[in-house]
Amino acid sequence: MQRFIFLTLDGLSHGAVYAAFALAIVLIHRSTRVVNFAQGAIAVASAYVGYSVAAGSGSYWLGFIAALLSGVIFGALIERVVMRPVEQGPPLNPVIVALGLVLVIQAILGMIYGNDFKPLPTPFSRTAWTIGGVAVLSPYDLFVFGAVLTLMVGLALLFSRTKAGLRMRASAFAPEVSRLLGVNVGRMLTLGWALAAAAGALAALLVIPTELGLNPNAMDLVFVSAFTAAVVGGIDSPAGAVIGGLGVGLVLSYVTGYSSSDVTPIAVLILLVAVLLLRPGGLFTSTRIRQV
Amino acid sequence: MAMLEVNDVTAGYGGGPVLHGVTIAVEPATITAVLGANGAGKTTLLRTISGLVKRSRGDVHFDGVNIARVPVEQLVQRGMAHVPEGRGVIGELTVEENLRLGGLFKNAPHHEIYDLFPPLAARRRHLGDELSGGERQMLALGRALVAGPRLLLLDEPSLGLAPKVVAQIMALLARLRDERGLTVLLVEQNVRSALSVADRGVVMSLGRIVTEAPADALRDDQDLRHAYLGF
Repeated sequence: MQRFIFLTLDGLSHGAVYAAFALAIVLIHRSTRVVNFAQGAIAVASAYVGYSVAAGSGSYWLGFIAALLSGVIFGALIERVVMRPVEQGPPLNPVIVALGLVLVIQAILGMIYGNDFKPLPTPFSRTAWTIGGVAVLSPYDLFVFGAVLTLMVGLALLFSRTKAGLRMRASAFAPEVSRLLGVNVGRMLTLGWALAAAAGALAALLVIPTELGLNPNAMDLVFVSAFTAAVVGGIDSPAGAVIGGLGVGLVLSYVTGYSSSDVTPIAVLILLVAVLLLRPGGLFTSTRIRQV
Repeated sequence: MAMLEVNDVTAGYGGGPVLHGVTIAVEPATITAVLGANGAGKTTLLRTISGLVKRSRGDVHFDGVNIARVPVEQLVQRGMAHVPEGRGVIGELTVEENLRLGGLFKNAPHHEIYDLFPPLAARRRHLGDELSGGERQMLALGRALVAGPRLLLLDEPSLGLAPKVVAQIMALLARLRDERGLTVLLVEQNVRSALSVADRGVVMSLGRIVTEAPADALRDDQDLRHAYLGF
């Protein structure tokens, strides 16, 4: 029972990160119909920027802010320079370009920083409090929950309460009609990618210290988990991404805890394949067949 | 001076031109009906005017300004609104959000639209997808009017609507023309309804203008009707 409680809380903590990362995938898929396979690589690049700034300044929080800002810049730049030219072509083109981008980014990071694992500091202790002899949550876990919750509430307010949010939703659902109504759809796409990359950077900052450390491939497995979470959630639904993320976190935590961490990567893939086979539309899908 | 001038425009999609050297002029505070069979190029004409379809030849002047290089999203600021075929209501947004979107670029209030279309007021929190066909047409039209346009491009507003609703919409267009000086370029298959309010009629066939005449002439002259409209 103690182990079960521990695994549940640990799963939720990891699941919160998957949820944040799945949100990033959903943000981009909603507006462009593209699964951004470069999301993990972009997030790692942002984390390296944060690492450099934190190492140079000695402040975790300066590094934290630098990583989020660099996510915004990387996301916007990649949308404008790399993805925009291939968006109009066949749907496979942006996917191939994104996969190429993964190789390029990881190679550049390897050249600059090397391929070894660099420890990323945490701003709070990772030692869990114990209640009645059962290890529950650490201060860092609370920080993770708080950060992801802030992200989710922030995005929800942005989309439901602001003009930019209304424009972004309209652009995602009906780009042509939005243009006729005076919405600069191209700018909304750039903004969406910038936000998504910042969310991805946040996820990377939160999860990397709990894993092996910073490495050009550090987000590969997280990407697969988060992608699974996004698919479970219906790939277009932000709420679905959050629920999917927590669910995937729990499943992986139980699998790892009750068998071995060696099977985690396989478990993620089995879960992904199972969801795609059984409910390809996702469990919380909001997509519907559009009538033209 | 005409408010809208389309000069010798040739335009189309990937597979060759749909419009062949189309020229029309629309005077301010008038309703011009563009009539013709399916595939005549009526929708393409509207889409070319608002820049959604690229021209290969000719140009479009709005208020005397060549709008060839003006991006689609800036036309609404210049006073041109386009209600596309199939109405373009964003089904995933609420009625209120659709209307807000229409006035967002200049913070225009949308409350008077509820006075214009009372049924929408009761449905303001409903998603666009939940509306009836008539309500959707009201919403699409209302959303375009929030922007306070001087020129309205309207594509098949009668499509799939009950005759009574069509009559209401046509009457509203006539009222907006008479009271506010709104200029309308109206694409319609429903010839009788369109000619009931239009000042001029333009008949298209296979991407060309085949005749242009005052609406009452098209309505009352049997020879013209037989020759171009088939009834």
